[in-house]
Amino acid sequence: MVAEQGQRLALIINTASYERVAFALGIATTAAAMGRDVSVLFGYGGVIRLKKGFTDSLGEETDGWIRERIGLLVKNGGVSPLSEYLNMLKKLGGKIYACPTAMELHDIVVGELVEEVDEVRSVTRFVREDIKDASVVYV
Amino acid sequence: MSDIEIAGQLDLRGVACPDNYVRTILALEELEPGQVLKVTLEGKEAISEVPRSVKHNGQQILSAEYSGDCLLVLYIKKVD
Repeated sequence: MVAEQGQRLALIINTASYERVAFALGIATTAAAMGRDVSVLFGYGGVIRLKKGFTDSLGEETDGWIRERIGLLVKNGGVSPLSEYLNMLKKLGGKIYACPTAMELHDIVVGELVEEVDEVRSVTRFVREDIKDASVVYV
Repeated sequence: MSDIEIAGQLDLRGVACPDNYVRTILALEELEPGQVLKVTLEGKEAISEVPRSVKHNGQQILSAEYSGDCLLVLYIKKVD
């Protein structure tokens, strides 16, 4: 595979709204498939999606007007479930991080995180190591 | 293209962007260099973008069989 050397992408997902997380992870997996180094940090709003049993949930965290439509799209196979995006991103070499402060906000402990999470990583470290020399996407 | 030996195949009809491209790349990663993946795609966006992005990845498209303007069958040879 031709890798785009030196092109890094850092995403910050700060929402739990299904369609926003799905779209962001779509960008992440696409970039990883194209050979870019991809890191994703889940913040206050998004870290709940890394909790076992909640990743693919489609409830009140997602606006009603789009909830049904995105649910149908996932059901029909047009779009992958969020858990599948996380899995594909891992297979493609992407890194997935959970913010510890965000976890505390939701009373999430490490053992409750899905297996795709590489580590709990602070914003400070993410800015120092992942944002450096990277294109940044904030959702 | 019935004379091409296929190592894997993927039916991506109904699968939207970017999943159609990502799943193609993941399937190619499962193959050895030189092996061929057959991919069926549906929709104008898929027909336009997946072959382009696959080539961008350095993979070789042996054949592209169009059926109308909505269906495409690609034969992709994995390049190391």
